[in-house]
Amino acid sequence: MKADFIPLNLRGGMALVRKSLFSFTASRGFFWTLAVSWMMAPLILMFVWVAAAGNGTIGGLGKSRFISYYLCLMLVNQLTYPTSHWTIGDNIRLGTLSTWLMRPLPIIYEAVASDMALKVVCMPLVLILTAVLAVFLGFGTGIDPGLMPVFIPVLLLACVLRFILAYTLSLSAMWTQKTDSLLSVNDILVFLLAGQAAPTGLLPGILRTASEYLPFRYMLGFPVEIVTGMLTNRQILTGLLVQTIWLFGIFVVQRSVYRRGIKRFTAAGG
Amino acid sequence: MMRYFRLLGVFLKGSLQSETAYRFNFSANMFRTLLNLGGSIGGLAIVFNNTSSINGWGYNELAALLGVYLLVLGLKDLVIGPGLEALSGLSGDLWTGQFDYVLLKPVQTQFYISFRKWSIWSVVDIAFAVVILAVSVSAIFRSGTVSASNAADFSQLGRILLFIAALLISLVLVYSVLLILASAAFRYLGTPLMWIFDSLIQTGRYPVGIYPGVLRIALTWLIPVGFMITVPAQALSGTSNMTVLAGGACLAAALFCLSAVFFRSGIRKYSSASS
Repeated sequence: MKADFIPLNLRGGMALVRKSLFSFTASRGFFWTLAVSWMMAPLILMFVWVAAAGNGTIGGLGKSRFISYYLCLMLVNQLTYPTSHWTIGDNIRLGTLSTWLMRPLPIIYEAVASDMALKVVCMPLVLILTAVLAVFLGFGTGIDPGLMPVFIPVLLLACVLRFILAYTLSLSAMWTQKTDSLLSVNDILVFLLAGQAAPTGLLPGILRTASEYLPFRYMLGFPVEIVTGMLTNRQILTGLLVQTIWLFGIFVVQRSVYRRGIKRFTAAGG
Repeated sequence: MMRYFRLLGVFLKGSLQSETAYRFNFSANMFRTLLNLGGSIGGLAIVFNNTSSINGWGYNELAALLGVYLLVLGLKDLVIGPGLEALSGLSGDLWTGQFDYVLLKPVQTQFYISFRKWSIWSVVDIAFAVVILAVSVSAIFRSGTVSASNAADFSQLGRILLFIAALLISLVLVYSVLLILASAAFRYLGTPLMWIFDSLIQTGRYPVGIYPGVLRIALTWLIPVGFMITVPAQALSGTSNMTVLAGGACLAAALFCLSAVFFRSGIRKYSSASS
C-alpha cells in the first residue's frame, strides 16, 4: 500500500474539506452544542482559580491574569482540539475505511478535512461567546501584539502535534477493537498536564517537570503561556525545541504505525 | 399503584438482561470512571497545592462536593438519563417515530418514558461516589465543625438527615430539568438539548458561590445546579441554611409540575416521524 507516498494532492484535500464543511454546517446546532461543552472545563477552572486567588496572587498570577489566561486557553483549546480520532476507530472496525482507501488521497486527508471543517463551523460561536465573556469579566492585561509572530507558528505546531498524536492513537484500532480507553487516557493527560487544570507553572514538582518534557503542554498550554506573556525568551526557545522534537518523533511513529496497520486491515467480514 | 411498582421491576429486569450480555462494557465503564476520578481528584489536588481554601471551602468539603456531584450524575445515568435519551437523543424515539408505540402502551406515558431503561453499569459510578463521600465526610466530621456565619450547628446525624433531604430535592430537580429539555425535542429536533444539561451540570464540580453575579443567580434558580449539588454538600459540611433548603423544595415542586405540563403539551405537538 503506497497511499502514504502520494504527493500532496491539495485540490482533492480541499474537496474533502468542502464536503465535510457542507455536511457539518447543515447540522451546526449539533456541533455548537459540542463546542459549548468543550468550553465548559476552561471556563469553570477560570472561576476556580479566580476564587482561589481572591484579591491576592497565586504563583505571581492575580485575578486578571487568570481571566486572560483561561480565555485564551478556551480559544486555543478549540483551535487545537481534534475530533476525527474518535470516529476513525469506528471506520476501521466497520470497514468504511475501505472507501477512504479507494480515493487517490492518503486516508489522513479525511481526518484533516473533518477537523478543519469542524473548526470553521464552530469558530463563529466560540469567538462570540469568548468575546462576550471577555467584555463581562474584563479582559484587561495580557496580550502583547508583539508576540504574535511567535504565537501563531507555535499555535499551528500545537494544532498539528495534538492532531497527529490523537490520529496515531486512533490507528491502533487496526489491532484492537476498542480505542476509546486509549483516547480517554490521552484526554486526561491533556487535562492535567497541558495547562487546563492549572497553568503549568502552578503544577506541583514532578507534574511540572513532566509537563515540560511530555508533549501535552505543547499542544495547548505553551502557546497560551506565550501570548499571555508568562514566558521569557529563553523559555520560549526551549519550548519550541521540545515541541518540534515531539512533532517529528510522533510523525515518524505515525508513519510506521500506519504502514504496519494498513497491512492488517481487512475491512469488515474478512 | 402496585402495578407501577411491579412494572419498575420488569423494566429493571429487562435492562439487566440486555446489559449483562455485554460484559466488556463493565470493565470499560470501570476504566472510564477511574480515569475521570483521577482527573477530578488530580485537578482538585493541583488547586489545593496552591491554596488552602476556595471561597471558604476546604479540601475535604470540596471532595465531599465532588462525591455529591458524582452520586447525582450516577443516579441520573442509572435510570432517568437512559430513558429520556432513548426518547429525545440522536436516533431516539422522536427521530425514528417509534414514539407511536410508546403512546400505545397501556401505561401512563411519562412514567413509562422515565423509567423504562436502566443503565446497570452506572452502579460502578455510584459505588465510587459513595466511597468518596464516606472518606471525605468522615474527614470533615473528625476535623470538627466548619465555622460559617449563618450556619446552624447540627449534629452529625442531623447533617446526614439534612443531606438525604437535600439529595431528594436535588434528584427531583434533575428529573424535572431533564424532562423539560427532553420534551423540547417535540418542538425542536436540531440537537439533543439534554446534552446542554451535561455541559452545565459540570459547573457543579465546584460550589456555586465561586461564580460571579448573574451566572450564580442563573445557576441557582434557572438551571439549579446550585440546589442539585452545592446544597446537599453544604448539608454534609454543616453549613446548610434552612431558608435555602426550603426554597429548593419549593423550586423542586414548581419545576416538577411545570415539566409534567410541558411534557404533556409536547405530546400534543407530536405528529410521528413521517411527513
